[in-house]
Amino acid sequence: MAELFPLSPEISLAPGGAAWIPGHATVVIADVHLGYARAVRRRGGYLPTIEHPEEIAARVVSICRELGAARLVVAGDLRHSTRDADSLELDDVAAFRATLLAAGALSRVDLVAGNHDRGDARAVARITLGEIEIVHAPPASLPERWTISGHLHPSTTLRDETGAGMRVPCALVAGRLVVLPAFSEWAGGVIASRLIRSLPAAEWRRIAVMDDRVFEV
Amino acid sequence: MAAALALLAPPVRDWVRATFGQLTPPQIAAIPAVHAGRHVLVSAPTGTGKTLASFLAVLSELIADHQRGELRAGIHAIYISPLRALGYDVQRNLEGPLAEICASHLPGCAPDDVPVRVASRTGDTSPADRRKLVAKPPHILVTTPESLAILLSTPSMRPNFAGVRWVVVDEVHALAGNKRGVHLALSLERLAHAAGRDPVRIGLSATVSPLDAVARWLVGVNRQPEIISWTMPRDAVYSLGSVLTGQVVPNPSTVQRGVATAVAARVDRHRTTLVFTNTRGAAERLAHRLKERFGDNAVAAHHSSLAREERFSVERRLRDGALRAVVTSTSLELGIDIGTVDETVLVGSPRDVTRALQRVGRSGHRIDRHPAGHFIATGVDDLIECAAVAERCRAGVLDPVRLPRAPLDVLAQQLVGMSVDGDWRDADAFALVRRSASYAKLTRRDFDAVLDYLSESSETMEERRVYAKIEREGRGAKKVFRARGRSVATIYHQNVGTIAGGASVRVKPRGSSTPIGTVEESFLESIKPGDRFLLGGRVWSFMYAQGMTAFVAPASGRPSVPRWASEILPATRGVARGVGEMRAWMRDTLCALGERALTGRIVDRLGVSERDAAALASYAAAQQALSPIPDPGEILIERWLDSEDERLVVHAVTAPLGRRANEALARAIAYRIGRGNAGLLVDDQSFALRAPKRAAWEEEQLAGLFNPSGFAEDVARAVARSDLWGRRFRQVASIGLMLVKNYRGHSRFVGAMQLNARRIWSVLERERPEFPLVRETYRTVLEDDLDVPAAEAWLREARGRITLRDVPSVPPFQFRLISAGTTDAMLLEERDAFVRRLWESARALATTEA
Repeated sequence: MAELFPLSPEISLAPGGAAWIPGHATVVIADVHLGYARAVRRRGGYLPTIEHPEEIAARVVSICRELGAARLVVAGDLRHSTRDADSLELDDVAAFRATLLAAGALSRVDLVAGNHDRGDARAVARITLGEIEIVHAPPASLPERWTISGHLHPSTTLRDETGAGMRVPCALVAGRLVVLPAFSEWAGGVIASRLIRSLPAAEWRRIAVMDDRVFEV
Repeated sequence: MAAALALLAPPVRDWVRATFGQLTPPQIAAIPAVHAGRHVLVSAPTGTGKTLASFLAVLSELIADHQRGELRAGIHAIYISPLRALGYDVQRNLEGPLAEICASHLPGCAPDDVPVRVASRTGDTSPADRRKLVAKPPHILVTTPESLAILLSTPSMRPNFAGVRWVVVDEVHALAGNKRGVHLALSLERLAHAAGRDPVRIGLSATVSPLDAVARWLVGVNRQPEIISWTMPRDAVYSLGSVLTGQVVPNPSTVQRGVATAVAARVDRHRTTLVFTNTRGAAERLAHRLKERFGDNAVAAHHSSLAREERFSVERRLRDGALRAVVTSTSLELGIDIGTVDETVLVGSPRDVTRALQRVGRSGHRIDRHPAGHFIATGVDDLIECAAVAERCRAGVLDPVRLPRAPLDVLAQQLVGMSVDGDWRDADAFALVRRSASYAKLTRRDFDAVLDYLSESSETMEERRVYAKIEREGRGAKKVFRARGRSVATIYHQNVGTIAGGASVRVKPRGSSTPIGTVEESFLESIKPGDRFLLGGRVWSFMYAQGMTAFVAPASGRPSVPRWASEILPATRGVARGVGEMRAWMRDTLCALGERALTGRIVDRLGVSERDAAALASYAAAQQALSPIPDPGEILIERWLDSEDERLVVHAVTAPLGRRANEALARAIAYRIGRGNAGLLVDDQSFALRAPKRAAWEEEQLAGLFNPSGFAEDVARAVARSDLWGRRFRQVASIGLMLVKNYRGHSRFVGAMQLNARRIWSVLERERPEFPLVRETYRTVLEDDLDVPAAEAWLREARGRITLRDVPSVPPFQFRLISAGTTDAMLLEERDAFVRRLWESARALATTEA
């Protein structure tokens, strides 16, 4: 099994871009943006559909299986279109949920409302698991309790001494606040140093999250 | 001349006699050709009456038609200029003569009813005027390449194009070698189709090479061009100065102050001076400093990020003789009417002989006046390069233009434009495209792949119906395509063209209705209210932003200078080689005669001051003492330990080929070494690799590293390991209408995802390597961005002449590379290995800390 990156006794980061809360057998992911490629097409551009919702769900299921999770929380922005979601996108959401639940590993899937999920009746503003909060956008000041968020799509560049580098998704951690990377394949990610200016702390740990390993930069 | 004049209709002939007395040589040659209906390319220096040469025969035919009562409504001639401003000049320069002809030479002509009407259509044209154009088309339409493409894709406009007889393309040299020109060449084929006949094509060009290739670009594959080249040199005078400070890499602010003083000295000597800097930022900064010296109203800045009103006002004041100096980056290079300028000052090397000739040709702008160009070099390397450019200007040695080969992004955009016309049979569209020179060898497979992309045939039926740009029907030879829905025309109209650029923000003084110009969004993000910056040579204080408009107030004090992207011009092959030759000449003179005599020879050869010559001589002597200067056809590798990071060693290779070839060399050689990652440094004279010591080069390796065989393949493999594709992809995707910048008035990429072109690239490249815009990205980088043939030819030339020398520190000739070369790094390790290595070192670090 791939190595986890512990943030506290209660929370670890797992490969693939998820947070793992073993005390509640819960996996948290953020910013899936289902229907993104189609939203680009609808606005006159073009992106091919690379990963169908069933395949994205299969990625999630395999992470959950590996960890032994019973519950999934999506920390906002499950789908992409804010206002003009069409029936195809709602179908995507349904297919995603159905695949997750049909796999048998998960007994429960919850959605925290992101700015893109408007109108989803099942979405809630926040989810509290014991001492842990799960929200979409990171709060304006550092929280006292552990808080897992998303929304910002952070990324960072790995560099060696020659300057050769590679941009990878990362999680940001300061105090008890975690910002997860986007789960979407399309999210280029915003470079962490640009994000940090508008975040409630000066010092942030950057934890690179790859498909097979997680490590601090 | 009499013969040419005799061909003109009497009113036009009389007007020419009364106004000019005689015709200029280009006019004498062009009139019979146009009269006989032949396609022509007229190449002649600025100020020789080229524009009129093309129009005299056209005006003559139109007036004759009118006199016979046969002048039908509809567009007869189209004039296309790459620059909007040039179009306004031409419109004025046609309306003036037409009014005079009407008033004095055409019996019965009422001044308010000139029979031949001229109108322009550009991005600036108001919606009301656009509607008028459709309802009452002019006889002569003045437009830009992009506006022409839009008009061709406006169904209500189409009937007006039937029967177009002439099309004049001005400033051909600014179009023939790039995607914008390829785009226009396709529009010309579309125009011929819409006209239902083959309009006579008339190209006007400054001195350009090779003429036959440029003419082929103009007329396409099945038409015969006549080339009229008139090169009687109006002997231009070139002089060279500098702001050398004694340091090889001087402090930029010292250089800026020096430049301002040196330019001011030139302005003092003349009534009107036109100053070229290579970047918009530098133009702003210099205009600001000159205003302090000559007064706010005597100096102005002119560049493409200034608002139209601002530019017009500068051009008008220039024509009226109200300005002592105008500082511009490139926007006044083309033939806008700017009246009489006494001297052109070029700050820093213009990197390209064609461009230098064009800039200098803006002075003495009349056939009987000599142009004068004064170079002001900003450092020793720049001085050598300015000297090489000046020598080539005098000798008329031009760098050849290259036509991009069948770019699929431009094709995709134009096919969308065509689809708006109605049904196109695939086969007919394919035949039309192949008539244009750039696509002469386009394969049917590539053509079909582009249509497949536009109709998204790989997606589900349901989505195709909803979101594809074109729809297709039928089979085999009867297969047709057409636009899918009305939004397609909107997408095309709002995203037409090939000119890149980030999102720009309009800058407006609060309470004023006219904007000053634009800055890039990234610049706006970097400033806060109260910050001061320069625009139009004046200082503004930023107040607040609303949408894509920034409101400002006049201010004073020390300003910052906006940055505009994509401004570094590479030196051409010829100029880079000229520098290499001049360096070798300095070496030979130095070795034969010593440093003092070299100083004298430099004064003689370059015409520079004794002080500048001494600086160059001592620069060459310092290099020669450390490591002998190579011939241009030799490979010198200088190696030293990196002073910033002792784990690294720097290998610098002298290669006088220009940045585009050196970029290819640097990448291919890093790839061939194949031992770990490398940092790259590239400029026009050399390139360097920074790599861990364990990857230092061995003598036995050298012949293999610099082997010309298999070079092109290695460049392709090396580029695959870099970020070059990802960077270029954004532009290709936007030309190919894959990422659309504007949609229904929103000028934004989609949504809050920060749609990242590089990310899309990496997904697409992995999942869809055959996708046409992926392949176009490869082609653009390997054929247009990099100069692989020049690099390969040099490796062949230098075969067997390789020297590797260890030096104690950075050699003088490499200072500029190290301090100002463009940098990049190549990730040559496999992605997984790289991550594993960094992960292991992160873990090791964590263990030590614990």
